Amino acid sequence: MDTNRYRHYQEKDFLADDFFYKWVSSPDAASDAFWQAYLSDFPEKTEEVARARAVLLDMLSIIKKKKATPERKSRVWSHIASATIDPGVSAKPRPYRPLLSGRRRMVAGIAATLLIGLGIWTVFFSAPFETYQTAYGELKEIELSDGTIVNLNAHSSLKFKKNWRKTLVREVWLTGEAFFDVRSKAETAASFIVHTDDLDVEVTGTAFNVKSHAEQTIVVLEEGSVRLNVQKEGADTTLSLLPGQKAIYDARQMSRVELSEVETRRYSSWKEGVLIFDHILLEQAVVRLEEIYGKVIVIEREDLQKRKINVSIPIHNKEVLFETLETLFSAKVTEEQDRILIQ
Amino acid sequence: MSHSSELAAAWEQFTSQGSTGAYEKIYREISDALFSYGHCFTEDADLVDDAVQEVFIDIWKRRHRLSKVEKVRPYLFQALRNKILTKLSRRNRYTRFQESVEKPAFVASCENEIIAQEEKNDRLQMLENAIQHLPNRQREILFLRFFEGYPYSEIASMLSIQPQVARNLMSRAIKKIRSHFIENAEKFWMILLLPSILSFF
Repeated sequence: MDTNRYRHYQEKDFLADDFFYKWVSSPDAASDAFWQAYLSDFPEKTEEVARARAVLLDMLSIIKKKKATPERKSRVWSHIASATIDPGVSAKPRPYRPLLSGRRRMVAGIAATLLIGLGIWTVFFSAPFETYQTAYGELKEIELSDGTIVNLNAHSSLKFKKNWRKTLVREVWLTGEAFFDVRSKAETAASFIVHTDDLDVEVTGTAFNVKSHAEQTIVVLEEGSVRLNVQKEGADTTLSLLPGQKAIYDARQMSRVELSEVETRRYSSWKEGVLIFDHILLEQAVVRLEEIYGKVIVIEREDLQKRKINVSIPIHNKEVLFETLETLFSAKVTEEQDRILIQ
Repeated sequence: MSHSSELAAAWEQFTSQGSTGAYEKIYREISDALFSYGHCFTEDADLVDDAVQEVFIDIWKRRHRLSKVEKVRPYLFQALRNKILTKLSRRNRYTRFQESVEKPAFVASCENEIIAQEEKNDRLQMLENAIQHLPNRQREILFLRFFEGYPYSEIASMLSIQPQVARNLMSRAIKKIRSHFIENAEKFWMILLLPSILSFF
């Protein structure tokens, strides 16, 4: 293209030009080369070009800003799903749809089997639970009988009934943190439920992270879809997550679940034995480390309180962790009986 | 753009097989754009939400008849536009823009973002307010141009107008924004910055 074409252009003409717009919004080597050539041919146009660019860039940043929060998008999707793909209006009859959840369902199930026979009741009720537990600083990878893979983080436990029959809802009980890669039971459409203290996570064929500690429960969805059920007085909520979303339920606030959109890898990297701290405050990183290592970490230096940390570290290796902290902050890290000091 | 081919692939799966995964993917791919587009016509978030919902419920019901649709984005935008305008015509359409206490529709909920530079923040805030004051048609043009990145020819065919008309609407929008800046540079420090704001336009 000939730069002469733009020889008499003014700011308003640049603004109306498709090629100019493309260059500003998504520049590439070719368009860059062209406009550089244009400016060297007609240097008197530098200011007009600069002004037009500035207008376009501002408009792009304003108009491209998202208008819908993750909460809003999720809420609308919940309504859409319940009117289309979810409720009883679909063509395929679902073999099992839990009407109640958690303990209430277990109770209903027990009541039903009581009618069938005491012998069966004994087997059902006293079916042994299988428990997996991890110590501080330990990670475990577990494969469940249906092919679901669970990565269990440090100081966490996973419990489930040993006899998992294909047609029943698959349930596990979690304390701490785990990453679930759930095998979809397409034939039976049996769902998978993770019970934590504060809420239940209901899924069908999906990859997600659940972190349940004292006051907060955090669920991050990578793929597929999950539904969260919170049943607490005053906070009775059901919410569907979309991939890339993170939901936090804070028991202290007992209010609605908070949603945001996140880089899911940051929340599940620990299963590869790596923790990713991406520009977060040292204070926050320390909370995470405390949960994993089980020791209080004290930051004795005031200047480090508000420092940000941007690093990936291996979980298994405490020495590397300490070295990294020492190098990053020119600090001294000492481990005592019940705590770790950063000085 | 890889996005449009992903959307096209999902649409294909959705209309030919009725795949629920593809249906959700379509929502995921286009929901941001739909909400933004919806707010070209009204500040009312509930109305836009209802309209988006209805569009999706409609396409679900009619999925088997939709394989002929070639360009998915314009199709869904058109559907949303019709829904919203119908809803608006049913109620009192005279909506004078109010300086209400609620956030203007074009201000995204940015609790997660802290914009570092005060100056940039304020100038962009002014820009948002200016866009707020534009008539619907001009906001639509801005959306199609800056959010979707459509060339004037495409915009023209979507709105059933001549490309030159689209260009005129755009320049009228920008002129209006310019005069909004001039009228509203009330704050003292803004007045000091006035020369640079004008030259920036």
